[in-house]
Amino acid sequence: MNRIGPVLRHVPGLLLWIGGGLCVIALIIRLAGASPLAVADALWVGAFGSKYNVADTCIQAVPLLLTGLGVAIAFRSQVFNIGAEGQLLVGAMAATCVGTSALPAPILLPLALISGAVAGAGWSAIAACLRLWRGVPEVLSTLLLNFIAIQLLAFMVRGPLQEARGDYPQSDAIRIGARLALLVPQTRLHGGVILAIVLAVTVWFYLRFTAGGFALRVVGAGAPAAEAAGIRVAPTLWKAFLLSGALSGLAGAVQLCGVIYRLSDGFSPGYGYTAIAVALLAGSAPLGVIISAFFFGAITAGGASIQQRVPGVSSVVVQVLQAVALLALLGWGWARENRFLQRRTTPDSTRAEDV
Amino acid sequence: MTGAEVLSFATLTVTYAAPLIYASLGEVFSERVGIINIGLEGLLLLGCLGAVVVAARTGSPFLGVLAGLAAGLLGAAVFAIFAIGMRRDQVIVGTTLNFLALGLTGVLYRGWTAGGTAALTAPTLPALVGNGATAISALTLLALLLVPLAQWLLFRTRFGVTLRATGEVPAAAAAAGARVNRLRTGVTLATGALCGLGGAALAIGIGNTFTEAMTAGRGFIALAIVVFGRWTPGGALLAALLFAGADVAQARLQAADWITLKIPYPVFLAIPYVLTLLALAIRGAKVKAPAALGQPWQQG
Repeated sequence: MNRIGPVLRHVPGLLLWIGGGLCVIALIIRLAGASPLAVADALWVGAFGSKYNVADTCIQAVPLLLTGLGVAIAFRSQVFNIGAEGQLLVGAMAATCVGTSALPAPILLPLALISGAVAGAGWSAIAACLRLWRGVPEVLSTLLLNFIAIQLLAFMVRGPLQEARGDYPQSDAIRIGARLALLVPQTRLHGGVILAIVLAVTVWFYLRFTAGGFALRVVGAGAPAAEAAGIRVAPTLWKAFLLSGALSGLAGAVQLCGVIYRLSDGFSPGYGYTAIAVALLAGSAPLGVIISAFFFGAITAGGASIQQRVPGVSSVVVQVLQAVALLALLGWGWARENRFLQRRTTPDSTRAEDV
Repeated sequence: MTGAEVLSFATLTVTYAAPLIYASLGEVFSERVGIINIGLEGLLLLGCLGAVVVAARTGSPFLGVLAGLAAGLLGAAVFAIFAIGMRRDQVIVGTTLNFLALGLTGVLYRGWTAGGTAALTAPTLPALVGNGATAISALTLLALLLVPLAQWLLFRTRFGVTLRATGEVPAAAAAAGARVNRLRTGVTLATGALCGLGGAALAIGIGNTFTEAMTAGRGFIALAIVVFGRWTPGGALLAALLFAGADVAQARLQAADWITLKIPYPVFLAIPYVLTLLALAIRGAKVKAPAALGQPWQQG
């Protein structure tokens, strides 16, 4: 009760911010000349309208969950890795190499997934080198690496990885043995969804109950504190970069082996960017990432249906939803903090010192 | 290359540099006052949409530029409310602003152009000097003129000292009488206005219409330019010219020689980003950001 009481007290405030956010979204849709209700209806049908739509929501949630976890781990250790998109693409490229190779079937799928994770970690390692050896902020390097990965993908599907027939800029389909099993008949729901949830729980356990996870969190709380506690900062940051990159790379491999099967330019509609929103909405908590990934998965699945069902409304309306959800969350966080400050009669001691 | 070719290459480089100059000048001031604004990309995009819509509807590129400026200002106001007023994490607010601008401009443009079927064609900015391949618009010229002005303002005036002190040791600046958050808000809004101009320079200075995500990462390159230019307007100008030059050269090589050279075009498209990354890696160890960058300030 002790813990639930204060949480419940914040619910009206949260509802107020959500309501405000919905009004803003409705206003924007009206400004674009469409009906907010029609958009909401299309969103619902696209996300939950039928068994197929629900499966689609889950399918969309899988890459968001894995990349979201990657971003969350990085954020927990104050590593602003916003390069999940690039790491995902590189992971998909590596998985394509393995998945189309002549390796024997039993090791084909595991190897494809592992190679994806390794490639993602490698791509992230570039940013880690730049940060730790050259002092380049990872906010910049990971973003630039995203753009480079997009061009690398374009190059690969026109060069080394292009299909044998050579007609289109796409790879050959990966072999049957490299594909993830389908779970529900007549839908495209694949085994990646189980893998992603298991990994989220694993990451939660790791961060909460292991020494390595503790080190990540302490470094995130501030490098001086970590050093005082005898934690070596540089190796811990390396771990954050590599784990984060590996999860995003794995997301690319899972998406390839579970849904798309062949690589082409439009492989990712920006999962790695949405991952930032996924992680932020969850407050970078691994179990929260599961919920927020499915929430954004539903929005993404619904976004496609909006474009089909409501003429004149672009599917990028999803980006507006993401942004407004985050702003509402930020505002709510501010309101909570503020109320907290007002209640306290003594002035904040650290600030008083600063002034 | 003949003289005329060199001249047209230089002109094009300056024209392509203009959006980068506006955005990076804004960011230099922002970061100097302690605000890291990752939302440059979004602010540029808002400027693009504002400029194209108003220029196309009114037929006046001048009004288009004003609308671009206003759109950038509005976007920056959202940033200021959350990052300064509510003291939320600046990187998070900036990232959110990028989402918001990308979605908002996409939805509004498609809504206003009957589902994207009737693309808006805006009148481009008239040439102030030169013509044809050597035309330079007033907006490009303004970008170049703003650089020495900014350099002077930042390093030769009392205002500049206060501004830089606020980004290094806000507590000391506040003790000396600076209104930290008011100053930061002002600079953030100015950054928005500059990015709005940059968006206009891109949308109706270089092209004449709007497309979703047309800024193509220029806002992020501007962030790199600020670091590369060591947080000075002059340095930012040089870096912007370098990257714009690479961009123009890339387009030329792609158009002229890529078939004979047998180099696939993605390699060329990656050049500006690889170059930025290399530049940061080389300059990296020497760079030092303002000490209080990214830290929110609570007025005492």
